[in-house]
Amino acid sequence: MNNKSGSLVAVAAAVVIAVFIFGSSYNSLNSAKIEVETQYGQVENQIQRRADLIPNLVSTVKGYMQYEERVLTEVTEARTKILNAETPDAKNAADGELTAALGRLIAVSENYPALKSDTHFTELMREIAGSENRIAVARRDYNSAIREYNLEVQNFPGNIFAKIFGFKEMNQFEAEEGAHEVPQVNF
Amino acid sequence: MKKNHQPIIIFATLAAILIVSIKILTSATAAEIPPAPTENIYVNDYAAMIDDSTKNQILEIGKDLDKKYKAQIVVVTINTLGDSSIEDYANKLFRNWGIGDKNLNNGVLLLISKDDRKFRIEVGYGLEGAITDGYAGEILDGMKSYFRDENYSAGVLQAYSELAKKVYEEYGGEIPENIKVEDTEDEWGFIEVTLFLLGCGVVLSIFLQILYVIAVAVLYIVNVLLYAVTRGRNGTLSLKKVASYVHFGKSDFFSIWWYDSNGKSGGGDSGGGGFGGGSSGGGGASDGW
Repeated sequence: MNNKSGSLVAVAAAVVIAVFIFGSSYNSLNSAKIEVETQYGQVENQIQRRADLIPNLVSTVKGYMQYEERVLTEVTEARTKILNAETPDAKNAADGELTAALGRLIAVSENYPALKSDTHFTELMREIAGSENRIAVARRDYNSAIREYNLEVQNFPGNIFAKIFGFKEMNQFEAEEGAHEVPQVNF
Repeated sequence: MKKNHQPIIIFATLAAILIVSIKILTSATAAEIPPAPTENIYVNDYAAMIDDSTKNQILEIGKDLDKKYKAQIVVVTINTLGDSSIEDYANKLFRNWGIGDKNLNNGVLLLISKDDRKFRIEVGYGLEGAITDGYAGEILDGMKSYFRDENYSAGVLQAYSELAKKVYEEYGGEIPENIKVEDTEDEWGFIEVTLFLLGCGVVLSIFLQILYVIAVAVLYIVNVLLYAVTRGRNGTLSLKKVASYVHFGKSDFFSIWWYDSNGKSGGGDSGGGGFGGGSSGGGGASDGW
């Protein structure tokens, strides 16, 4: 009698513990995943922010650079690609192209002292440099969110529940660190 | 029955320990960033570039902004960045310390690395509208000539004042008179005047206290003598009664001073009691001199 109720309590306790572990594991896996998605949203926001500065930049620069059509076209095209990108990979690739094109624009602008002393240009370049850095920070946050998520998925007890609930490991964003370094603009 | 329980309890305990230890092990550790200061948080001059009077002016402005708007503008000088870029270092320090309010994210960091000859203004999310990257770049531009002359204090104070001005404007507040973009070295700042008046008060109240004690003592001796001479018809042996004859210097003045000093230190402490947990997304500008 006593023995029976005792084991009943034990079983009930085991069930409660199991439900608790189950539930909290699912919750922490899920919130890690949501965090990754949020951070990715930040990356896209910042990419967008920089792309939005481009038309203004191009129209400012045009007045000074008559013979550099090609560089300006590259910048504009890269921006269009960002706006039309449908997958995260395409967006990131287009953003890389924009970075490269802007690098060429900065190099060319060295030949135009009048442009370099234009306050509007200076301001825009600072905004663009700031945007670059924001993108870098957002990517780092995104990667660390993925790292956290992957740890949840790989480590006990998450690994068991990840299989049950179908949470898969994610790939970090492979930044060619150099490509996303803030371009140094010296005035 | 007891045998039935044991494995479950052991398993549950082990699971709990495992979960907790995994949580501890996986929490990230940051490298090389100095620990967050708890006092005078607005100026952290690790590279010894800023003179004391400038520090005091910065602290005064910093406390005011913190008290009024929970905004925190923080200056940090370091000797070297090591292998980090100034952008990475600034962002990590900003987040580690938690500059600005947790919900408003209204912190600003002015980081200066002496040997690298680089500086950066990192702006918290909440102030990105007020202090644009372009404006931050302009402020750094303005610091360059001071820094090239090794007149670091003046450059830092100018930058700090300009940043503070934007924050006051952002919150629609009055810009206090002690914020001047030009240097104010030889003038008496608010802090000095307050301290002087406070000092006068303390000295005066101590003087009155001493007078009070002397007066009570003299009166008491007179009373005791009177009591002895008149065999208790006049005078008293009660010190309490004698003390009540003397009114000046006792509670009134002393209590005013006490109240003032308490109010002052209380306000100051809550204003500069530490960082608010703000974050930054890498906004701002970097440059060198």
